[in-house]
Amino acid sequence: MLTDSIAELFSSLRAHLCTQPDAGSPKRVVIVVEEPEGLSLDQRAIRAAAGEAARGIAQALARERGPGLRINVIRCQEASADTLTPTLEFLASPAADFITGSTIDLRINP
Amino acid sequence: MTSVVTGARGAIGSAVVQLLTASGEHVIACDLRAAPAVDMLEAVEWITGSLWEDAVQGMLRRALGSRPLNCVIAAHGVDGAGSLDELTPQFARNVFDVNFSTVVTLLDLTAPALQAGHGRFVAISSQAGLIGEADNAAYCAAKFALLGWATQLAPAVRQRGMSMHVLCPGCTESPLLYGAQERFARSRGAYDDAGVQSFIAQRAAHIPVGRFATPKETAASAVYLATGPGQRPTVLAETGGEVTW
Repeated sequence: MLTDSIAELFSSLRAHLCTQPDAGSPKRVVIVVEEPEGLSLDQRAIRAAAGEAARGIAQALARERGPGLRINVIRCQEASADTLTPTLEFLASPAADFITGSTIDLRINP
Repeated sequence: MTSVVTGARGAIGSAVVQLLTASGEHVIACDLRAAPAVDMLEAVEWITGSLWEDAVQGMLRRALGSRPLNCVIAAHGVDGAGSLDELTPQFARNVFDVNFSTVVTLLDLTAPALQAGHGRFVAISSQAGLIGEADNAAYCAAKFALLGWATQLAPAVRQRGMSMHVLCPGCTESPLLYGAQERFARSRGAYDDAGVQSFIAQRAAHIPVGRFATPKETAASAVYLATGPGQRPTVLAETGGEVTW
């Protein structure tokens, strides 16, 4: 199942980054990985694997695609608007233009 | 609300002060250097001197009084570039004290006020706190130490109603950066200004986004941690993709 999610993520990234023309300013991607509390150990391990896979993708693509891309990861326990909005607004702003390949870990109990 | 900013006359620190005051904060600013003669804002209260000095610690305690603190941003630091051959014990001690030990002192001094204000402590480390750099061992030691100290303390700090954050900026345009780059360039054989400039241009080209950060960008990342989403993230890398976390 994780394989399916990763394949789907790559498909979305390719659609966004490889087929849409550059608009002049860097393209911006944020990968959100939700790792809720209350999961079994096996489930937590798979979510952790997903989180690390996202980190690997963001770090690799930040280097591969250089100035034309800002790609970052948010790890959180609940992907709600309350949780995500301040960070998404910051990452979407010009003030965050030097942040790419980074992981912003919002989990209280990682 | 009130905030404390150290290194307040540095490139990053002064940009932090500007951002905080623009958002309505009252800032207690600390620096070895005296307050700037012009453009001094009413919202800024200035303390001149080193956090090592008892007198300066006393001034900070008096300035805080019983006020709760919204945030503390430790933006002070000193260039520590030098090969192992150049790292005299005195130099290494100074680099570690300024970049690490005084941050510990700063937390000790401000923790009661931060706790009262449910505030946030932001230490500005470096990408040199995430990955070792040649000819920079003293600086790396201090910045790695900062990351280890802060991440270890973070859960306990959160339990006291505060939060702990570490910003790891990459190359940010500042006298500190250019001083370090010049020393790196000279240690790699650059013998004139053109050689130094060429080294610096190559250094910037090596960064995935193709340039250095502006002080305002790095300050904005610190202010995001100090005023943004909450108790997390503990660590934020702002490196243009050069060193990732």
